[in-house]
Amino acid sequence: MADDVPAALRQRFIGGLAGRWQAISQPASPQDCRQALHRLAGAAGSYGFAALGQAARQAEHSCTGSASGLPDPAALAELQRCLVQAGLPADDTNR
Amino acid sequence: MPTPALQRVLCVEDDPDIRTILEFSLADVGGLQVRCCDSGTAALAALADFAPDLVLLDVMMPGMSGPDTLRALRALPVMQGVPVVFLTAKALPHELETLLLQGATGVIVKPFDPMTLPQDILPYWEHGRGVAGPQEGGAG
Repeated sequence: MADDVPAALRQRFIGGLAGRWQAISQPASPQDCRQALHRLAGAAGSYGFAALGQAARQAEHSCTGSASGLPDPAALAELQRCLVQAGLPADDTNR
Repeated sequence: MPTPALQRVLCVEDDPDIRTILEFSLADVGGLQVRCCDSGTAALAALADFAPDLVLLDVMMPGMSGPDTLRALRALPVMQGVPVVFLTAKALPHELETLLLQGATGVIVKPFDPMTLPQDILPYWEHGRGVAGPQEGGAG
């Protein structure tokens, strides 16, 4: 399965998570946030981070029912937890 | 006469991490020749020196979307009969059906398994050659 992805590729993916989180947590628009979630949902599982991908998908779906068009805070908190679990330094999710 | 093998895959995907994992999967795991493009426009340009046996095409891309790119590819004589498979993170049945109705050979749902993707695309390659194969996928 995706756990067989070389460590160097996984590390490169982890290295990009801070940028992805910034696009999600400080988006220029709700549409940008949703797109960033959609892209993360599509990518994470292929690198072996299934829980992260599912959390991103949940957060993306939560945008649909919100008045602001932004993700539900609880879904975002779960995503934040999964990002740290995947290897993103916790400090990078608090900026 | 030996059966021709799937050799060249054109991947069109705007996310660099997904392009990276596609290249690893198809080239390193599957032993295929791979050309990755970051947009539909770049994919159309790549056809000048890369004749794909199969195209993997992201659906949601800025600029030319996947369906826009599919229409442009289908209009080219050199692309007649070449299977085009959508890659999408949309997984609801009606969403997959809508994509197939747009003329794709199949749909592979993201996230895909990079270790099995080279095998997962073979039925679409067979389908494109007129051998019975699936119209919709759940691979990945």
